[in-house]
Amino acid sequence: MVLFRWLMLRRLTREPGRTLLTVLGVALGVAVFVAIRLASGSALAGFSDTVDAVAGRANLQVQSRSDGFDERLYPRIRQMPGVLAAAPVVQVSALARAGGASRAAVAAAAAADGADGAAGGGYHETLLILGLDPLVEAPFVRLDRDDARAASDPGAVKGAMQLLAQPRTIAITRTLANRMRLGAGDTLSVLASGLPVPLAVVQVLEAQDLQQAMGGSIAVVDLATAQEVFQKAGRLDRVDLRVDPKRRDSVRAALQAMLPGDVAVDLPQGRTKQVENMVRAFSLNLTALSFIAVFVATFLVFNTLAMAVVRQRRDIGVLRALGLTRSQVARLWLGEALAIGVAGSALGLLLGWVLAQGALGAVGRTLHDLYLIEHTDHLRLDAATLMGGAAIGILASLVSALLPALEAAHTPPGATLRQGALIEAQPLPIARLGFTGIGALALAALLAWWTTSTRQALGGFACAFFVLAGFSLLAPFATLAAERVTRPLARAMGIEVTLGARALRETVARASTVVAALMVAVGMLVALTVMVGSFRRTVDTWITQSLRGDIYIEPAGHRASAGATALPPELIAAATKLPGVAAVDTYRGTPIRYEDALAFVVGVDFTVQRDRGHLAFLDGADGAAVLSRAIRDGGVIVTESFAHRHRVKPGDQIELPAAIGPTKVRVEGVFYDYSTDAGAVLMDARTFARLWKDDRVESLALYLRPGASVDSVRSAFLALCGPERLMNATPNKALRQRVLTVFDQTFQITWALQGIAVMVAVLGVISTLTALVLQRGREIGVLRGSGATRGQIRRMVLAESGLLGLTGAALGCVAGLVLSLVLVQVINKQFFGWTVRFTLDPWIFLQATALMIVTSLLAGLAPANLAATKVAAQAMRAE
Amino acid sequence: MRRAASGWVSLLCACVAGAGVAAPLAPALAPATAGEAASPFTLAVPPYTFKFPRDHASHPGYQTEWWYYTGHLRTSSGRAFGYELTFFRVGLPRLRAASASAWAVRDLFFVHAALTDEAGGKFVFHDAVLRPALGLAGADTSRYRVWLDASSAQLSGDGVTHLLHAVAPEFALDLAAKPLKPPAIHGQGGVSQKTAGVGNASHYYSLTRMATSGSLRVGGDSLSVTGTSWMDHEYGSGSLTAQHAGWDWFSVQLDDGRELMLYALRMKDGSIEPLSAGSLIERDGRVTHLQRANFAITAKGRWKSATTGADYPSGWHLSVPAQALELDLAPTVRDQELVARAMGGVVYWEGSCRVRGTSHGAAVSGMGYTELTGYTGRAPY
Repeated sequence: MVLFRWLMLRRLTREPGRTLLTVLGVALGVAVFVAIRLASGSALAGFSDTVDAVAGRANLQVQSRSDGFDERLYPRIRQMPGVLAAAPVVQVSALARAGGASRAAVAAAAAADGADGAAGGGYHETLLILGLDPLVEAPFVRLDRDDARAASDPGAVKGAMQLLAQPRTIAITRTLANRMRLGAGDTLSVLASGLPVPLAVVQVLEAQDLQQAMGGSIAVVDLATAQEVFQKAGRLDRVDLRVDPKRRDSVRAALQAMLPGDVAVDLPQGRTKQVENMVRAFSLNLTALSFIAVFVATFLVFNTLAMAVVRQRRDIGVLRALGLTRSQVARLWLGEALAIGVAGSALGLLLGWVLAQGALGAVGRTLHDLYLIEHTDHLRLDAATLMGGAAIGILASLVSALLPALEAAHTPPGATLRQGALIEAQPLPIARLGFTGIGALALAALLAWWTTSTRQALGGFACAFFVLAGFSLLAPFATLAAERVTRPLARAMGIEVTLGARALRETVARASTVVAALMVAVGMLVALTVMVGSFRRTVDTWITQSLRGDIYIEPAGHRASAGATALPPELIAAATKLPGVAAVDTYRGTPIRYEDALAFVVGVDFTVQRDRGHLAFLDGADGAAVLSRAIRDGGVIVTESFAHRHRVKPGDQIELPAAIGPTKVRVEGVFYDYSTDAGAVLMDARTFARLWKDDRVESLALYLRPGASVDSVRSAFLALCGPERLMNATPNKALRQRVLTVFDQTFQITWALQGIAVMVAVLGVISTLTALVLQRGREIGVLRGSGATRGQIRRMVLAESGLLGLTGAALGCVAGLVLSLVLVQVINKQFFGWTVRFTLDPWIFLQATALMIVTSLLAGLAPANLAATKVAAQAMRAE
Repeated sequence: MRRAASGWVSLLCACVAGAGVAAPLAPALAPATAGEAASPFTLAVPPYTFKFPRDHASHPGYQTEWWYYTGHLRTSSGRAFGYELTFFRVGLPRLRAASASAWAVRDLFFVHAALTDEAGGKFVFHDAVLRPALGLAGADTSRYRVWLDASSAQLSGDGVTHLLHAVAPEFALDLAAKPLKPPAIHGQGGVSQKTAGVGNASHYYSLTRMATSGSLRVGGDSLSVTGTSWMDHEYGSGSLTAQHAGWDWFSVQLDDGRELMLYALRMKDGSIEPLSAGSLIERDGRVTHLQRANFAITAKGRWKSATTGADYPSGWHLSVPAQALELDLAPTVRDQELVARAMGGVVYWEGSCRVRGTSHGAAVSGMGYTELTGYTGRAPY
């Protein structure tokens, strides 16, 4: 311990800058891992809490596999033997704002909203609204604090009775009441199909579970109010049950046998499980990315320690001569790595916590966009993630310290005293490393093949890992090759550049770790850029082809309320007759559970699609013919992601959980679509109305006559809607822009990670160069002594860093290209079922290379200065 | 006068009219005060002529209505039970316009069922509330049938016999009750006036002696039982005032073939509402109306509930001097208290009693039921 303090801590404290950089590298890796796990974990936990809170004390739930079920099932469910209590539930999300719906109030809120307000009207709060029957709620304890008080709390009874007896009343959570500054007696307005509906707040709910879920944005209305306001008369979304726990399985089986096929009987945790499965893919993706940051940090630690071993060889030799055993020496170095790991992890956890706050919003938004999950803004710490993050930081440090520690341990006592300070490590087995690297790449290729044929999701990520590992092992070879290739250029640039480049060759073991780190950073940058770029272009092409409507219309709040939206038929009829309108397409969708996965069923007007749309089919089939067939026979077309996930091809029959009961339909075609990875089944609006007994319309697309003005038709349509109804009427161009914006948002986290990987790599450059400069102190002194100017010394070091950057960039470009192929062809295709057309923009290679060289040179500035001034002076004094 | 539900109505009115209602709605929500033209409910005002069997069925024009069965049952081996089966219909303030939703209802239905096991000294009860949506609960208007979940009361095909079903977690009743006398109309002019004010009244009749037989399921036993039941049916739209504290109600079936019904409305100042009343039903079904001055009720003991802390009188002396009728009532089981959770915790005592006494000096005995409300110290709902 004394030794440790003397040898290691002395150095750590004497070189605080370098130590700090190393610790920071570990911290960043840990931070990214922790942040992503915390953020996606919190988003999931938030969802799970919401499920729990809205389930109350239910221990069994009857729920629809699609868009609600016939409420006449409720009395039969209630009377099933073993059912102790049953509560009908209508569940809707809707946008809300404090205050009434008077024109003046809306105008004021809209003004406060700014430019966006035209259709927003100040509706910023997304509420999860539960339509309940207060009379049967007591056993579920959603409206009361707890059972014991339920019977004796006149406030709760009174509130419940008001909800029931008075139309248009609502109860909100204490949290929401405080946030919106509302109390009993105030008014809150919600948007139903774009129409503001004022609701009187009659009760503030104190139940704890409700406050935590969804940040408290939960409200309760009477079942009748919910059905009236959201046009869901006759339908329930759920029946929550309390059944005898001992008989739960048999009651469940009996209910399932009695109920039609589109209704499922689940444990309340069942839904959380489903969503967990859906989110798993998303979360895995991000975790894999976070490991890349850890991967890069490992290089940094390795590099720092390996350098330290070289520079302290004299001390080690002395210690060995004094009788220190090899294992003691090794343990000294591992001890240092442990210190770095612990410090880095501690800092990383803190940093991760901060990062997670930011990431949560992005993850939550993405989850909402992809999976319709209400987002959470409440970050929760979870011990497993924190411990995992710390373990990763410490383990990564220890693992990367193994080689340096062994090298230190193998220092022969006394040898160092004879040979002086500078001993390069044992010569690097460059060829062997290179062959191993090629082996890793071959393994990656094999994995890619295996993944594509078996659709093992993890295979794609393993493949990416081996690509990076393979190229890392090729780094020493690449460094030497780079020096060789650039030698004529270096010669032309002067003696100092040649000297710098040669120095790199002499310290290839150290240099190549930095090159590898740079390679990983550049590789990821290139791969992600190529992948995202290809994806974006594919999506752009797809929207341009598929979205042919001129104006897309949906009520404000449609995204929140989804299926609980219905436009008045007379409005649709009037829209058809507007001058300039050639055709009107209608849209109605519902999420379904298909083979226990989420999917969407969508009804659109196939005649409009046939005549005016341009859906692209996978097998290149003639869209008009496919759609005509589908209209005639009541068939469907499915998205590529649906076909991929459920292994469906044209001509197959699929069974949909329709409202009229499970119904077999024929798949007429598979078309390209990038709107959801869950997959969608499209059918003609008339087929949808028949299968789902539902001809309501959620949104519209207007197709204009040639020459008609988008602006004037849009104004005319909004005039039709009247001043009360808030509608979003988006011209094609703006919609396309919005889709791309959502797309870009989805990849925000990716870019943040990318930035961090580059930062860690740059830290590596600084740290390595500083070490190399210090290590070559005597050489630099000699150079200065033999007439080299400070400028020349500076240029020498900069040449070294420039070459490092160039090598890393070159190797990274190749690795990135390979990696982007893995991302596009393996991961995207197998994981999400999206065909992404691979498009390569060569600019990225130039940009990445330039970026790396410039940042390497910048990173080299400080070490170069150090060499030119302090080190040179010291060395000369020493001579 | 019977029954806890009328208090429920006042609670409801207070709730709905109370704070938290948007200003424009407030006038429409004022409680249905007697005599006001604004009340959407029919008021019980004289003269009123009952028509049977139509008037057994539901009267949705009135705000409150209940069908109340109590009775004394015995197995062939002599095991004695008391039972109560009650259905309440409570009209909600008429606030909802016509709605597409089946859940937008105008009434709520409650059921209370209780069983007193005299030998075991045990008392169990069950209560529930539902709205009349999707056939979960309801009452027909043309032919007598009222139901909630699996519990129901209805007129059988013969147009005479009442069929009762009660399904509670701890017991079930399946009874046929045949009236032995015509309906006894209480009050005057077809109206039982509860307190001063037009419409603070109800239409109230009883089937005071019904030969009952059927089966009883309790504690895993299925028992054949016979006995005598009493049915009350009352409907009106009035309410009590803030000065009323609660009421004591008694029904007695004497072995000499006569029945007695008495109630006293207690005021908060300790006095008795002057309009408290009763009826004496002769062997042939003739009804003598009893006014406050014609009877006296004296409590003889007390019982304090460990569950609610309510301090009830327990054991009474009833006196009808004009008939030289002196009766002592003793509860068969001391604890026959109900806490009606579905009614927001309404607490009342409703229990079977043994009756002994004298009529014109000669010994008489019989069975009875007593109802006590407003003893928790809180508003009697």
